[in-house]
Amino acid sequence: MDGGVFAVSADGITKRYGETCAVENVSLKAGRGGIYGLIGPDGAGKTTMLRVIAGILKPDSGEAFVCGHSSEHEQTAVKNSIAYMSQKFGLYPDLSVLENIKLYADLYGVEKHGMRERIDELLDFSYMKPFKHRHAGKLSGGMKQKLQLICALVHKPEVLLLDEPTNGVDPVSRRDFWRILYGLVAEGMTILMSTAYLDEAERCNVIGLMHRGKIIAEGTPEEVIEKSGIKVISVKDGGDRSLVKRLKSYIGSDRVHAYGDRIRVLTSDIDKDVEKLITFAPEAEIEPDRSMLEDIFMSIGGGADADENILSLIADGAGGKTGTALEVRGLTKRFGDFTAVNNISLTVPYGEIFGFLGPNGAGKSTTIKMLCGLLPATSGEGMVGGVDIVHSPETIKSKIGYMSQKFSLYEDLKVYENIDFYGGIYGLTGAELAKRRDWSLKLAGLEDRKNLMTSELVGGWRQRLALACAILHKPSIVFLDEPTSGADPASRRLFWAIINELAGSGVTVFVSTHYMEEAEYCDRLALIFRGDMIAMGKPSELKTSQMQDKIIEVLTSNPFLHMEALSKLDGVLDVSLFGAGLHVRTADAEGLNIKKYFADKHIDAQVQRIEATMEDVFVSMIEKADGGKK
Amino acid sequence: MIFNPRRLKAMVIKEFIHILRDWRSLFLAIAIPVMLILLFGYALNTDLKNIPTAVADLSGTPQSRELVSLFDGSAYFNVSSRVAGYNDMQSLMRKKKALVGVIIKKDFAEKILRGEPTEVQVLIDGSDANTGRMALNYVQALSVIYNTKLTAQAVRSDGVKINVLPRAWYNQGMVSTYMIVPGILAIVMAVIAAMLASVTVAREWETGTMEQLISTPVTRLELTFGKFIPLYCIGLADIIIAVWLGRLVFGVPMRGNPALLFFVATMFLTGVLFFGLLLSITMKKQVLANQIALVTGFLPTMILSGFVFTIANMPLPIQFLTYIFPARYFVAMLKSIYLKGVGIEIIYVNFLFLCAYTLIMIVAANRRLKLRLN
Repeated sequence: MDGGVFAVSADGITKRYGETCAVENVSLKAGRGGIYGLIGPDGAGKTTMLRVIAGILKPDSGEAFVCGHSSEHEQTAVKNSIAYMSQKFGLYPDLSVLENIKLYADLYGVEKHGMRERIDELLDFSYMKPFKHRHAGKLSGGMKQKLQLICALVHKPEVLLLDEPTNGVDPVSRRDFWRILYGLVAEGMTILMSTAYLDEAERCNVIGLMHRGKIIAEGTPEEVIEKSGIKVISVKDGGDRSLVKRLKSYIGSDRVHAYGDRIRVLTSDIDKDVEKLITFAPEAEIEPDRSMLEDIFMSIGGGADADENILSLIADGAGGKTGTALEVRGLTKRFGDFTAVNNISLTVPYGEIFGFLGPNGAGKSTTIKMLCGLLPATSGEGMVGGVDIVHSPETIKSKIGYMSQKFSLYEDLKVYENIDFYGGIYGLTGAELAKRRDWSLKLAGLEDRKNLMTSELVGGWRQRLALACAILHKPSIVFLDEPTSGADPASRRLFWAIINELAGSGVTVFVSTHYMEEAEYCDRLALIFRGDMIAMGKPSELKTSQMQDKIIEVLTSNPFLHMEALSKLDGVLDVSLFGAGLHVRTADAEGLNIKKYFADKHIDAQVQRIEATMEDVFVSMIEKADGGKK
Repeated sequence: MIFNPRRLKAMVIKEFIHILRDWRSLFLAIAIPVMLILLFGYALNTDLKNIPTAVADLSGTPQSRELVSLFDGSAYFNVSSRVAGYNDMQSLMRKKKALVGVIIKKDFAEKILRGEPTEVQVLIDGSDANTGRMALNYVQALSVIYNTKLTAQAVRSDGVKINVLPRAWYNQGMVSTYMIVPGILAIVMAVIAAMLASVTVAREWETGTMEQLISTPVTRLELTFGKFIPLYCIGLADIIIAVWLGRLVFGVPMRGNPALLFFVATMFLTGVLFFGLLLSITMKKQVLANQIALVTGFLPTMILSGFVFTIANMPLPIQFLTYIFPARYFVAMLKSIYLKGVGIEIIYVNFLFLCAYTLIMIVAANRRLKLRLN
């Protein structure tokens, strides 16, 4: 009954939904053990592939096998040997953590003998034990994902299928999640996962890059990068935000993209382009850089070519004001005896991009809702757009644009009907409404699709439409609550280009995000943890003056094998996965004992001090505020 | 393995938790039978009592007085005013001071004594058709009683003692609350099916828990029965509440075999719950399934079951329509068991029809349920 060497294999899978072909003749093979990552833009067919393999979606043609069993004809065998974790939270919010786990243990027929121990072990492993009697609906986003993983693992599956398991999860929880995954791989489990985070993709043993229903590249991350032939020049703008735009028109918009605090230029001839760039921007730091999956992703395009047209539209949506947009003091919100937001004070001028960072459930959304006038503050005072937030919250609503975390347009209305509805609410009529409707359709890239049902839109389009509706009435302050959550890198990039333009035309943009490279695009950041603002400043300040720990980067094969040992070394505060390597947070700037560790073991490893990334800062500050839990 | 007891148990426990933790739906499930019994018991009370009646006794004889006392003595009429003639009577009825007017002619007694047929004019306010019809029925009943009495007296004078008393069978007082409790049982079950069963599968599709659930080895039977069993328990609890309340508040007796009632109710409950599940499975949208369940489950049970409106009085096409709704069979059986105390041998035809319906629903719900995404 051995299924051969492959834990998962798929032969010529095709699946159509009406006219659109979600997956076309895709074959893939994942060997036993290790992590296979499916990556690709929204709508590339990743979820469809996972569902077909899990046996819950019937393909039009082709067949998938798990451990040698057909997903279509031997469902019972397949379902017993896999665990599938859907993209949407699939557990019961009114059942407690333990009740959910027990339900799945029973459904999978886990042997009663040793079941308690197994559940305890999983709860311990995931640090979920203190929450075992909490209702699943009351867990934070990161904990929900961990619970879903525990439920999937309770019957010790051979193959784990995960559909974007870390969507909307903060960096601290994401690290925790990955620690669990590596533990499973070490036990010999096979994991097939899709992800929108490309730093996660770099950690996979094998990746399949999907695009328009096909796998266009497959292999180890290094192989895929190598085969693409893409080389990269990194440009550090030194605070000149307009450089991206100028480079785009100089070199071509499809070859230039901002990533974190740098601009990345894709090239096939490094020497020639470096020279070109040095003459074009002599003041910038320019150097060849290691290619990343991010770069490949950008090179296959995802609507990035359209952005020049879109950006030219933005100025039309601006208020163009100067001075203080928002000033609040001592803003506090309590729900019963729980303090969701504690004593937050902010002053933000017009034209600034202000970012909120923090773990799930830290109070970011609550803060944004109070600033919007949607939620009355328990105490505190302030002005938003010149209007008092305590006494006239209703007036604020006409001055601001708000895009909630949850997609809140009407799914059963057509695209243009949604726009007309929001236009109507903001008092636009006749020619004015028609003008703004055309404008927002262009902005969202939906001119050809304005008669589609909103429910038929996918990924980035939905978010851009939601943004267009939020700024239909030309507000001078815009609040965006995790606007890019779950979107693919290309859509996110475009979204941020729009945000940049908005800010450039004098609009204040408040934005919350879990993507640390996005935090770099903000003018200022506030880090919120358990309702407190534990840090605030420019991204560069946070990374330098406010960050006391040093970061040592370690690049080696199978880095997770060394995490445990490294964390026990003297002076090491924390070891975490970062991209394909490790970041070691330490008080010792040289990392001598780390170098010695690898030398003693005769393992090839690059060990070097690097500047802290935003993620390092985030994790370090959260752990400090948490009192150093480990 | 089609049916794994452990998985079924896990599903049942989960569904019970959903119901118990959602106190609003639990409250409704318990409150609805109580509310319906009280509401229907009092509001749908089709008995008229103390109808204000005006009498113009132009005869003024012992015979006419006996007739009037028959009206006044019955619980249904209350002789509230006596008038001298037709005109006064008319003005009283216009002002709604009287709903029924009785005019006894001058020659009433003479004709009776002569053994000739005589007439009494009865005026009934027909502006409220229902009340009018019932008043008319009572008047007719009274006239029968009076006639019988006269006949009996005539016979008695010949020395033979006969005591004739008209009597309505099974519901001696023709108390309409007696009819209501069996009907309510059907309605309560239809409501539970519409309210709880029709949303349970659709909710899992809407919240996305279904995708996770179907990735496990759970089978269709485990899923449908896992959802059915807790709802069935609630339905049974409701039956007990309804029977007990009917007895306590309205004194409605339960004459039949409780085991038979339970058996028949189980069959009906199973049928309507699986009908609700079928809708939920097919529609995949809570609101839609819920509304269709109300229109196709609750309303026919109310209107076409013979509970409120007598089936025999319906136009023929509508009568045929009643055959496709299970409530018809159930209400007919319930009335027989509840009020007549009959056994299965009398009602087996209805019972077979109900079984067929239930079986079809179970099979249909399980066949429609696909453990796949579309």
